[in-house]
Amino acid sequence: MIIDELPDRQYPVVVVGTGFGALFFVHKLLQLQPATKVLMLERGPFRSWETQVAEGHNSHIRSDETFKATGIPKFWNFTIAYGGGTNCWGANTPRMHPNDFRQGTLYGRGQDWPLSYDDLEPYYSAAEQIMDISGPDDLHRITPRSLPYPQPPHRLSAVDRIMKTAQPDMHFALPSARSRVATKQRPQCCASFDCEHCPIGAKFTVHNGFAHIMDATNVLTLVEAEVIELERSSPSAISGVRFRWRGREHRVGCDVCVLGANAIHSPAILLRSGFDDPLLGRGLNEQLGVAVEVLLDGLDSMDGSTISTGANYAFYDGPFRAERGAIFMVFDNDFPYGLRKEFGRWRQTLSIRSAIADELNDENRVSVNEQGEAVVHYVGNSAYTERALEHYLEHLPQVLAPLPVERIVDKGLRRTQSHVQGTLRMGARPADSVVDDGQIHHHVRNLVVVGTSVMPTCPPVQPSLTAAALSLRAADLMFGAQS
Amino acid sequence: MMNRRTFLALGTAAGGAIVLGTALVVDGYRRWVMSVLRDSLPGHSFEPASLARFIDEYESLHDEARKFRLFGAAETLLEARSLLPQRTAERIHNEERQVLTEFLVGSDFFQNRPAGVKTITYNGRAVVCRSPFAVFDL
Repeated sequence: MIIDELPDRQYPVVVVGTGFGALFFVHKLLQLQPATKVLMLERGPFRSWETQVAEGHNSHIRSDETFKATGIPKFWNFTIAYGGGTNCWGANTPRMHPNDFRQGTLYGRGQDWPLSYDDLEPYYSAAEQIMDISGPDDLHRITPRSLPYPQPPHRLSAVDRIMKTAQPDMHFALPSARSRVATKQRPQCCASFDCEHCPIGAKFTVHNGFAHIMDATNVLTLVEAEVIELERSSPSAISGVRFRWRGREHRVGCDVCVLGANAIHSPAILLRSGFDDPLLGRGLNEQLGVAVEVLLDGLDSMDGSTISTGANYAFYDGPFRAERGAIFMVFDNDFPYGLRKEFGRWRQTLSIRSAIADELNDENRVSVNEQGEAVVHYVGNSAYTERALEHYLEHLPQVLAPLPVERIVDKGLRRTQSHVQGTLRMGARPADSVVDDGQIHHHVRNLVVVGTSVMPTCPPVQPSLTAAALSLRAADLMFGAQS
Repeated sequence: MMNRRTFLALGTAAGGAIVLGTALVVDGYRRWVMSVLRDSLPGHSFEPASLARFIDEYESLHDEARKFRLFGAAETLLEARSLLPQRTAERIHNEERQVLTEFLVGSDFFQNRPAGVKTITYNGRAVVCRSPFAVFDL
């Protein structure tokens, strides 16, 4: 319930942020303890889906105006509004590869996650059920699963069908939270190609997927409340949250604090609060995005059922990851570069958007300045990523060999993947992480960090589903039978 | 020193040049868009009122379109493309694709039309269910 007055002074649970990490944590908490009183503090405004579509933007707050930056200029994109990334996301929902969780052991790159794929699998399945994910059962070959996808896969394009026939173990329908079939909450995706502001509301968002949280009388949300710092009653416990609302500072007490701002603002809040963990704020990252257009010779495509239909794992996993980053390829079914100009060959074109895993660099980091503002220091991608990019551009023609390729046009690097990750990484020990495998701070045991900031490596897949699954697990560990 | 009469005459001339130049730029851009469509869709004609609406809509919605106003004007006066560096020529090619795409996707071109109909009518910008090629069969 969105509230318009100052809340009570004390809550069992105070949640900072209302994005994927926060919402899925609260969802699980309500399943386990339906009557628990929760206060959610959101820095941005509440904007209905209708308003977002009508105005063509998710929030009037520009992400790059919420922090300072030094070093190499880079655009970090996120939504400051109720629902966070659930508003603006593209709704592609691949799981991480099982080997992503142990790339330190397997490939000597980065660190292992403190949990395994098998540990997270039930929560992946649960998150997919909550979001009514569409996906193919044969993807089980790459990412094993305990439950079938709730919705059938999206229809493959002509390109995808050829690739699937030629590479049955590498090419799959792309899992997605864009409805393949209508549900009570969402109509079927009709390929409008504007997922950020889907005009028919076919993708999962807070507005169509978490109405029970929005309506719950014991879950109060104060919007336009900017958290200043977390207060500690002792070195090992958070006692309250100080925030700015309507021009004044306020405080609310809590038994448990859930921090889910994002990978820039969550560490900034902890830094302002006096936390000094060695890796706090370090390892800010996202995948390197690269786009190509493939001009096809005589093959009419784009007859799939949504904006992106294919997922290709040809560059994803193998011993090569000791030398260069994993790559996740998304085959689009739209025309971001336009139809072709040649008469009758309008749709003989294919857009491929690929994401390359980066290697965490502690020099890519978040700090706070004297005014307490978040400051991003960015020194660029790793050589590990650059080598993967070089290899990709050189060997892509071999992967695309089954297709009648006329020409591959390098469309360059994408300025952002809109995945802000790292900075509060999870791990087994305080020396190499900030939170433990349950996402609880190593020393402050009533502080849970949710969202993509806890990811200790940068897998090449979109992270939203993983953030959702991690939050379900974190809430289960804290409030469930295992707690 | 410039007398009042000279000042007014020069002012009128300058103002006229600006009006003429602006008109040329605007008119040149419209002609350029039309030439993109005509060249890409040989043998077809365009319903005039809907074509005018398309150009207005396209120009108002696309930042790039404004940048192409001057080029469009230049293109009407001389064969500008042959003078352009490759990168600029590519940008223009890409813009031509966007113009063509927006027009076709928002028109009746990909709809089932009676055989022999060669006039294309623009119906407005396609926002919902934008793809004319998507298939939704399960």
